[in-house]
Amino acid sequence: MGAKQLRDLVEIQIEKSTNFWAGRPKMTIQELEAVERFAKEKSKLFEKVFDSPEKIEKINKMQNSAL
Amino acid sequence: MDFLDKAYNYNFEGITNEVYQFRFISMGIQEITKIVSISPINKNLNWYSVGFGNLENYENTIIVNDLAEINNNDYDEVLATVFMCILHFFISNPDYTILFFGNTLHKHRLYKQKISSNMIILKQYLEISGGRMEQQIKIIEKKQTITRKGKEHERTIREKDLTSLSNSVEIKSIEKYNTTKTADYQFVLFKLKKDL
Repeated sequence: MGAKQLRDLVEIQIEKSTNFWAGRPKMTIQELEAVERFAKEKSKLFEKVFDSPEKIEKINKMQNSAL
Repeated sequence: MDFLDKAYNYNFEGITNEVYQFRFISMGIQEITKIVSISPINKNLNWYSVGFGNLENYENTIIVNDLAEINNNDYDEVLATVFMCILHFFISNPDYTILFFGNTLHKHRLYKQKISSNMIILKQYLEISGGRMEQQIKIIEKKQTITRKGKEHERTIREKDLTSLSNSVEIKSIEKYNTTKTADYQFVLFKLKKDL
């Protein structure tokens, strides 16, 4: 039920978006590269949090107990 | 109107070097092209970080500016779009975790307020947790000039300097998101609900 609702929600949005974006210019290579650079910088900020297997294990446990 | 129904029409631009890229146009006071990126932080745990900002041409270089403080009067629509992109990502990556944080104090507070006020809708699909770090995150103050109603104003942005964190940075706690304790959360985690 929930899964179907989620899929429907995303599919409706994709359909609306496809019509909206039809005929509009695609992103340029420079734009895609800029987004990639930005995303990698953003991710790097939290990389240190996972720099040892012990930390990864601890985070995994904390996260599972929060769910 | 449901919070998620406010989302702008986003376009999934594809995946380049493991970065999921989405684009949309914020249509508030002015039209601003924005992007949402979702990229891996740690592959062992399948943790991904979400970022979003304005796609700008700054001195002939294309950049993504996530420090712009232009109030385009559409915070709800922008955040609803970011959440739709996150849900889109989860459709093909149901076991992954998304880490979310605002890079300025103002934005971080605002995002948590919006998450709290739309908890019922978001919790239909997502498990939401809040986390704290062992270390305090240093704040850098930056001056920024913005134009409002044709007049220039100088404002101070309090940006989080995560690069200043020492090598021993650790996560102190992760707990189920509690709307009465959001001031404590330095980051928020989203995971697709297990029963979906």
